[in-house]
Amino acid sequence: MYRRYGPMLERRCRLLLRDDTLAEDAMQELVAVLLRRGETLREAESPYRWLCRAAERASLDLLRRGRRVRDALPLEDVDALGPAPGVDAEARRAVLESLERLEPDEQHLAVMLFVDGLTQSEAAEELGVSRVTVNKRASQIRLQLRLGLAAEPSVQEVPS
Amino acid sequence: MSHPNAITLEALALGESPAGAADHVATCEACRAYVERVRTEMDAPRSNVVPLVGRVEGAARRRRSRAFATVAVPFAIAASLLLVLKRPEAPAPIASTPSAPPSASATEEPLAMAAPEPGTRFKGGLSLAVVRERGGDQTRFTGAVPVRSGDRLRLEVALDRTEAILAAVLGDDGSWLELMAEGARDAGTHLSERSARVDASPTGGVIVVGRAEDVRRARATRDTRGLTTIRIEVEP
Repeated sequence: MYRRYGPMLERRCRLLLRDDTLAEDAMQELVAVLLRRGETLREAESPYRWLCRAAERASLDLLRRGRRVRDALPLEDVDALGPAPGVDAEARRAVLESLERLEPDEQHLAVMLFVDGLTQSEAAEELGVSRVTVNKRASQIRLQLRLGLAAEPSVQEVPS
Repeated sequence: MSHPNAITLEALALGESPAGAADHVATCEACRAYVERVRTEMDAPRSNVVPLVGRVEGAARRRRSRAFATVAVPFAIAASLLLVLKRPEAPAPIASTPSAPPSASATEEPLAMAAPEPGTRFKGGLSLAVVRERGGDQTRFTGAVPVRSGDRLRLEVALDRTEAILAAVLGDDGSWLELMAEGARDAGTHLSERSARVDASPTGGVIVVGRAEDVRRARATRDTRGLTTIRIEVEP
């Protein structure tokens, strides 16, 4: 499992934290999570996505805890892969360089939308909220990070 | 043209079969290039995270053999104490040991349990070791741990039965850092969830492990009786 997914998960932790030591801590947290709750991984549709979210939670927890001042590396040093097709490079950079300025739920959503390139519908499904909610939160994130992005067309709430 | 998201493409590169991704990649040059970059990244040199993870895996594999050691060693110590008690003229081996300054070679111990050193006490079926990481090298201590700025310490706690424990570092300056949260843990070897990083102006301290109420009492009173401890010494 580690041989298959480890390098990409490690890369993800470094990308989110921009600190080698903290990334190492996040990977250790991930291993601890696997040892404690690894059985749910077996039921996951995509083990990689499950592991990515676990690595992300571990990384963002460490970032929020902020007990140690991290020595943030330049993004270029931790981003050999670069953005995936369809991901706005400028927005991605803004999010990665400003994650600590966001609230916890905003951090996860910002990573999903602007780093991983999920659509609002995909993010809504994964978070278990409506797309309207995702759209509102995404607008707040854009405002907070002063992203000059064209917002996705807002959707009207449809009465159920 | 809309593309699969990054995680989907990466999953594909890692050998998973996300729905529709392979068909898209077959027709999309940009996504194909990204998948290739992921595969290249997979082959890139790795950091030193792997050995740390290896330790966890190794600890799990060693659990069975350690179970024997954690049961056998207390018996051996008890047998030794009986012999000492029966021969009062003989000096007690541990008490007569001079408290020499700790050194890596004296306290480093690859696998087997060593006799407790001064400052280290074992209670019941709990034994404690500290893994110190310095410049990418890891050294395991069962006695006092010499530290300097930049070192990282992680605990390795072996239990011979399910037990609720808490582990923390109590600094000589009153600082406090919990490395293993309070909770029940099964018999076996456990690495602490957190590691302690020695900051730029370190002070000595003591690592304490045991029942949560005893550990918290030690924080308030600095009385570590009944707890398993390892001393942290700052290198001159």
